[in-house]
Amino acid sequence: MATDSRQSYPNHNYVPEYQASGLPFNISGDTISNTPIKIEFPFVTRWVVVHNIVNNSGNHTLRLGFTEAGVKGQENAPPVERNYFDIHAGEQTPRLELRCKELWLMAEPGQTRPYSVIAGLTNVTSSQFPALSGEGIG
Amino acid sequence: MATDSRQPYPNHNYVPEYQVSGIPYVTSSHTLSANDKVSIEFPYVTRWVVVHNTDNGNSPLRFGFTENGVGANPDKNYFLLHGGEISPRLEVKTKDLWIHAEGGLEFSVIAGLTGIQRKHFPTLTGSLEDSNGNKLLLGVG
Repeated sequence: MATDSRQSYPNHNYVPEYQASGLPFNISGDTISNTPIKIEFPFVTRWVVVHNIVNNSGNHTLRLGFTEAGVKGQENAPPVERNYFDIHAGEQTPRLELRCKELWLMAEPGQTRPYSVIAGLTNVTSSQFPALSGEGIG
Repeated sequence: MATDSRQPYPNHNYVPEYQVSGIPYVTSSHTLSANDKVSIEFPYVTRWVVVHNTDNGNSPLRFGFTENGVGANPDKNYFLLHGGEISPRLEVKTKDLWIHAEGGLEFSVIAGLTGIQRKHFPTLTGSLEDSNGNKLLLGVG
């Protein structure tokens, strides 16, 4: 919300924000078994790429989601809801043209996974983007 | 259909809906047995989709846009992914995605959605014809 009405801010529906190349955002780290990690972006993303970095601990999977509940999945109550995308060891996603202000990563139970995330950001501040929830999100 | 004429809704041909990045939709909720089929019904029309056959064995996954398409009825209107394969980012607009497992498998789907409600998108079918009897959508089944 603009505090000065003479200076309006772009909304996340403003098309030109997605026509320019994104401002870079890059982070790497390690996920911990059963502990979701939140990556928060200062601005709304234009695109993201997530890489499950290979190490010597075998063929393990990284989950990518957009809420904590989504990436944890709900295994115990039908219908089963798993709102995450699986990334196998050594794989990286295509460039995902998604707008979001946060994403969640979690290793499969019993594993730890190193990861890298790179994103292209718009100039839309995260405060201008709603919290995602519901169908397809978790 | 707009209930309030003062607030029109975007049609699936409205270009700016495809110029912004998509709202995320992601699911890994389905485990399929051999010859099972499932339809992913998106709440909004997609801007793009990515499908990942997460099976560690070698069970192929068929994905397409109609039940007949993935069922090869009568034509094989599907795309095949082997175990471990990920599709490219497919810039397609659809409201439904059909998955058929040739063997037991699991899969993940991620999509970027527009703001166009699914009710404003037609049901894709290969039986659609023009006034001369020519098929209009040959590649969906």
